[in-house]
Amino acid sequence: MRWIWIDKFVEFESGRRAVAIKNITLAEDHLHDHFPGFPVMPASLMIEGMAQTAGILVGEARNFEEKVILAKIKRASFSGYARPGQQLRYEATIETISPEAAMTAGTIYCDGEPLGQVDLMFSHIDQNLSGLNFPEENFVFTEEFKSLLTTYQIRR
Amino acid sequence: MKFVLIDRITDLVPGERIVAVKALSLAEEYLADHFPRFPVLPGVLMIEALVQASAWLVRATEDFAHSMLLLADAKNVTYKSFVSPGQVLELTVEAKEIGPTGSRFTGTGRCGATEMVKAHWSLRHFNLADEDPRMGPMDEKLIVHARQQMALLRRL
Repeated sequence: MRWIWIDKFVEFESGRRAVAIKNITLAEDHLHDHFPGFPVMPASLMIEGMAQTAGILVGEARNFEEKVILAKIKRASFSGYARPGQQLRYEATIETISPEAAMTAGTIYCDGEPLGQVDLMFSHIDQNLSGLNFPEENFVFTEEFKSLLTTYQIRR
Repeated sequence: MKFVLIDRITDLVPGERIVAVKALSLAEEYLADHFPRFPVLPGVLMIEALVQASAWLVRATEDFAHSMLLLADAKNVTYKSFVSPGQVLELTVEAKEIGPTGSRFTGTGRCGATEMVKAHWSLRHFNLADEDPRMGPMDEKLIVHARQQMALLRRL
């Protein structure tokens, strides 16, 4: 299992709003455990899809200079489940952003129908997680994540 | 096995609580992406581990009455620190309520004495046959698999 849970951005308004999509396919190994014979996308990985959509939005707002880490899932709620062959759409907006942290609100759609709500808090860890050990360099925004945004910007 | 987020159940009191462990190893592929220079357990997999532990508690409590146990909502999932390869996360889950179609929990994940995550969440329980009686055999298959899996997690 790799750890990239969005396929591409389809909308991106710097500092304000981002929309990404994720296709669900049986080619993904984790679905065969969750569950054997009746695969559904794990809710935790939909939270991660939203965290990646919102996290890149928050990171870009500060030119990827901050290390943006998920600090809290304020609320995540799901009304159903998503299956292989379906497409998820993650719509994230920044509610607040300060030197230390950012709050985002998000809605998940599955094939156009609302499926869940995920509200998150991110920490800019250089500013407020002192005491924890982590690398000096920005280990969060690797080329793999940034290329999702670069690809969107080139193609628009 | 690609999406099994607990390795062993160490204690289980039906209707009340479950304790389980998740060992983190650098052999796990997703750590290469999260993050290449700083491999740590993704926060959403901590909530997934808690969800999976709570699902085993429900299955043990209601003797595998339902094939599907899914996250309905999570609130105030707070992350305190990073879990690194070589560490073992111990998950302690307390049931607030286990009803016929849903359940509510609080839980923590600790590495030694250090609390890494705490969370509140609820599950939905149902059978696929509730919506479509033709799915009955699929429910049975899922439940047989769950029974085998639980025997494995408790025997280890």
